[in-house]
Amino acid sequence: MTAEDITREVFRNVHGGWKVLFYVFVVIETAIFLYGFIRLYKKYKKGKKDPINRIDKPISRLFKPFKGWDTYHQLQPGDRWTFIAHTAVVVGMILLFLGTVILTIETDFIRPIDKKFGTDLSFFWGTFYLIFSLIMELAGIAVIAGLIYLARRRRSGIDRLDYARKDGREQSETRKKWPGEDKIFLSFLFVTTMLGFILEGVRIVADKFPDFEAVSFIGLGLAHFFNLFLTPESAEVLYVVLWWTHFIITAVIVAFLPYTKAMHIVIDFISIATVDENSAKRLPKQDPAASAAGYNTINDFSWRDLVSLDACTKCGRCHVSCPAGTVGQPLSPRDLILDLRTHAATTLGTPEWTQRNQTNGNGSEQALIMVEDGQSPIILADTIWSCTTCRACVTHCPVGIEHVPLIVQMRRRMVEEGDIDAGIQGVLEKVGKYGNSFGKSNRMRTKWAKDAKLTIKDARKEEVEYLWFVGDFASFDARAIEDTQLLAKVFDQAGVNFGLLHDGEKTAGNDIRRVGEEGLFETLVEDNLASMEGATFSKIVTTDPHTLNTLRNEYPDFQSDFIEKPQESILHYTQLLWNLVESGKLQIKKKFSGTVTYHDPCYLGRYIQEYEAPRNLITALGFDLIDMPRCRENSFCCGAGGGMIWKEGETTGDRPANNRIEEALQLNVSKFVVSCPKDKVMFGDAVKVAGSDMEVVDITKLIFDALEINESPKE
Amino acid sequence: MKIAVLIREVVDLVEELSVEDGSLVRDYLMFRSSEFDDYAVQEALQLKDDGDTVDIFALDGNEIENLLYMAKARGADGLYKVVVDGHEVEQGLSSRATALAFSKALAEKGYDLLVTGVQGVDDIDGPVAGHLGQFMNLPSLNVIVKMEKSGDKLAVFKEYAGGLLGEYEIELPAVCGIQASQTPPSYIPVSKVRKVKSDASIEEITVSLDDLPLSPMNEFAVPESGSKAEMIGGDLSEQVAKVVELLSSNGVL
Amino acid sequence: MSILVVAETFQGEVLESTFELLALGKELADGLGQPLNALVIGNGISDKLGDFGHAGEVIVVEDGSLSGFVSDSWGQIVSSVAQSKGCSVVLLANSSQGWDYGASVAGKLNGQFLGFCGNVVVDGGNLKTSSQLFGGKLNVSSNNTAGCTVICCQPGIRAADQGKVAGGNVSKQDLGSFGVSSKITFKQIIEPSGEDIDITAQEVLVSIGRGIQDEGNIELAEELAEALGGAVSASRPIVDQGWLPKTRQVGKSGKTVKPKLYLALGISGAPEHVEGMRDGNLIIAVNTDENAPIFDVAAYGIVADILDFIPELTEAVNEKKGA
Repeated sequence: MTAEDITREVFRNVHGGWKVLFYVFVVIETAIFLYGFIRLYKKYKKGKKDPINRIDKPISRLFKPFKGWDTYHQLQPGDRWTFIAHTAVVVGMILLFLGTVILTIETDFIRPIDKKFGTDLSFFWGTFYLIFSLIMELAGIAVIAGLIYLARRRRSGIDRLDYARKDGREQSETRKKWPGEDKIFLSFLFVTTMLGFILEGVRIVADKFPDFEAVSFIGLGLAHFFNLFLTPESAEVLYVVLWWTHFIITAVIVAFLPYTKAMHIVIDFISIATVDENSAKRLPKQDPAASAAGYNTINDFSWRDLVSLDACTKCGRCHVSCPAGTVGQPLSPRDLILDLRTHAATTLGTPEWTQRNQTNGNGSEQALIMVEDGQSPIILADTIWSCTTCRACVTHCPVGIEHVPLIVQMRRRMVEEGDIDAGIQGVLEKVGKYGNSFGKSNRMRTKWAKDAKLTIKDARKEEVEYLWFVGDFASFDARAIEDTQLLAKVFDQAGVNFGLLHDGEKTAGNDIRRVGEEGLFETLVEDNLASMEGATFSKIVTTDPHTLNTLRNEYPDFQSDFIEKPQESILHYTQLLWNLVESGKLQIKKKFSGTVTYHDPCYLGRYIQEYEAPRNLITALGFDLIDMPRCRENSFCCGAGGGMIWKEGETTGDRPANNRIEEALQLNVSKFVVSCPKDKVMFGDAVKVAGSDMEVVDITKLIFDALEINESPKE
Repeated sequence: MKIAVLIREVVDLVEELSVEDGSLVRDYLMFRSSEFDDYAVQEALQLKDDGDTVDIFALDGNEIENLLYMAKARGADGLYKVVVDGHEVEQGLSSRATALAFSKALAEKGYDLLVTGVQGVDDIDGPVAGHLGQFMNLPSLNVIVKMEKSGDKLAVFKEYAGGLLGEYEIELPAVCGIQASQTPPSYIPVSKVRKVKSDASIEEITVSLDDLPLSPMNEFAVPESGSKAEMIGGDLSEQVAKVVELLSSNGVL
Repeated sequence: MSILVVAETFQGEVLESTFELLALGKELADGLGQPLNALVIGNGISDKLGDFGHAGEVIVVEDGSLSGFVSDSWGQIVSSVAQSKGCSVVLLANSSQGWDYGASVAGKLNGQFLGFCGNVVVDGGNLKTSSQLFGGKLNVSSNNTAGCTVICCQPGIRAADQGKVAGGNVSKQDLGSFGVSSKITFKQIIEPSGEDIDITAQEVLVSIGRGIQDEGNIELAEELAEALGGAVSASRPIVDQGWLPKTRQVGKSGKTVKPKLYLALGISGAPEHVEGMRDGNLIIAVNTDENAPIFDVAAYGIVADILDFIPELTEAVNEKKGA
């Protein structure tokens, strides 16, 4: 046996007309496959221009889908094995696919060239073949093992993989077909890969067990088994039959890939590569050229929005992490995306296999929410008006879907039409008139300072280092004011040179923007920037993480130079306090003991990614800090954001804050530590509802007590 | 139907009001639309059908233009600012004088229906609707919560104490004073107001008020607290205990 | 020169406010040395005039067409009578009726109008009035001099009991003599729909205002009301939100209540609300704002968050009952 003999016959027993038929099928399969993606492309082309630049830094973007691999967002520990199994299937399939590509190159290009030009480029034999075979074998094992693990996992009934919708709306025909679609797709993969091994076994029997086939050890094992009832001659016949079966199944998989969930193989790549890292943190401005604000119909969506809708693999991470949905409110980010996707697919010409009998009489011009009489809304108003913009969905989505900006865009149109909750309307009117959401005269903004007999510098009149942007809740809400006063005293103790804008401060507008009143937000930005223009400072410190987000991430969009290096010079007070403790400017005199838990605010955690400073402060105070199961990136929203704290209408479902307190109570801690004034308010109420005496306390109060400041009356 | 809604600014009660030498200190005063005028605009607009017009007449004020633009953004048609010759806006104008000014601005314009709010926060002089009816010799009905067309007449519902409503039919032209609108005034986004501002124009009408009956001299004072409640101190449980005691001694418990 | 009190009639009844006006009228009449007369317009009211003793003459204009209040008819009749009696002062109630036609009377008589009047006293031959404006934040006083003054009086300006005196010289005047022409037609009175309890019949009212903050918290008030054997009532904002039906509204455009116990919880005490509850026997107010005007009308006050207070009180009451 020579090295050239170490190979396998391509197109074994497939000759003449059959071979032609094969290539005809390949062409058909490729055409169907391409058509599937072309029609998707055509749909995306119909989409509007996306306000975010999705193709800057192209090289970095092309690597993104691969980078995401090892930071696969995990909702619970234990998903590690799923990640490994999925990787095994993906990598295995890619390798097997590459194997076919290599084979195609050898068969359809190299060999004809050799034949025609007398070259000796052929490589599919000898050592190459052995290595090739071994890799294919391992790849096949990986695929089979991965699929078995994933199939068992499905069967075990995981919450987030339950496709049933929980918002009370009817389960559509399309939705009922999804589990079937999943099963069929995975079965096809499984069967065709198994056939690969079986083919090996049959071939080995037919070839009478050549030595080198030892690398295909699974096939070899199967061959021994087949040998019990197959003769080499019958094996030869069986081989052809199985070969065609394997080919047809694979052709079907490939051809129908873009018509099923399997499209995610290609679409997810595009979706991840075009992701906006700052999505939800920095919302896009309203297009001044647009005749109306926001999104009303599917035709208003951008190309990237449409891509992201198709990217969804129904993994359910957003569905189970949404605080509103978890407590029974009618919002599931997953179902929002899937409802939009079905609507887009059936009205813009790309119905999937599971949608094939779905009709939509009203076309893509139909309003999504604010429908005419007699029409059925695609999305319920209550759905988008339950969102707190906590960003759990966006953070946990492995394929780059940006739910929150879509919700805000739909809100923008509703606000323009005046179709909003009475409470939110009241707040918008108050903010418009008085510059704060409490409807108090803005001159009363610093009453808290007067009440505590504090004289605080006016940054518009004196130069200060830190401009303290206090925020509405910390200035006006009776439950938060106490902490604001203590924080001022702490700053004084540390010798921080700080000042306020006093009545020049208006609400920074983070949640005004997220409610969809872009015009009012712009007015607030203009006014605040004008006040800041008249003030002298080099850094900003905020009480509220919401303020922090919009100042850092959105204000520079309006005036890029209002502060230098906004990402570094605008801080949350916990970050400043930790700096002060670390540098010794604040001396912790009294140490506490006892167990406490800390709640990561959405806008300090997921938006700003600051998880350590508050924890460092808590442990420095001597507490024994026990984190809740849903902590850090997985923190569970208090329910106030996105304007939800302003809503007055009846809400179905419970409040997220109650759910969160239940979680904390399981830990049996004495204190529930917060670092956001809205958290203080929401959890303060929730603890009363729960009838518990667990203390909801802001970090400021703990620090203040620990500093043992001597408050002698001032002269 | 030609409808005119008459609106004005009032002192915003969000600010603390203070008095010096019997006069209202005007330094930090903020102004806002009169709440009942907002309902009047809303109720007039809901009455509007194809072919009807709703014009807004606003007495000149500090922030009156914004109020006019907002009314336009809600669906109003013509915008008019009524300026009183020789009168400074800062001094404020009594409701009766306001009614007189409106009556002059509206003279001979042929409106079928005049609508305004039931009262303003400082209407010691009486309701604009009533005075307007008197000056223009038109029937007026006040404290209305609902208006409907009834052939060529107007069906209105007047609110009485205890939630009772009186149903009336009025022959036009007439004046209606509005207590509440059937639907709350809708929200007008800032972007819409901005758009209206750039497109719309406000016509100014100047009137002179030499013939107003003199208003009585008014002296302002902050009300004395009078007999204040006996405040119960202590922590919450002590306060609750005291209340239970009171309830027992008063025969409730 | 004389003083005229215009009675407030509704659906064939003479309302209590009339007697408050008569008490005031008598005071002014004595102080100014002028006769006091009363004018009663309506239908089926001539047998309800037994307590009009303070008035010299009680002029009654009764007709089927006057069974429902009509602003311009009232305005024409009152002006005519005031003119023929040479009135210097006309006293009306500052109600849905008085506020409606009072202006036309002032206009027809070329006199002054004074609204929201909380007090009138005679001062050296002149009238000194005090009105509560700006949502009750400021009092405005005026010295009234010449001509005729139409004064719209707030409820409670005087005690109604002091206005009731047996007697009254009734003289009927025919509607036709006034030559009234009206472009307004009264159709009917409509009661608020829906079956609900009558808060005016309750001995205990747990009344909530904006301090309740959320519709969901109303439950807390219901529990307290149950513990006390009473019912939940509310100020206007709560009813406007749709959180409670209109039948629970206490105040100027709601109901007037006089319960044994009125708990004003999270209610600021705007005049319109106070009008409806100031005669409660025992008024206890709870509010986070120590300067809330409600504390001026309450007997006892507590500065606290009602969301904390209500459940504690409910618990304490239940304990006391169980003990």
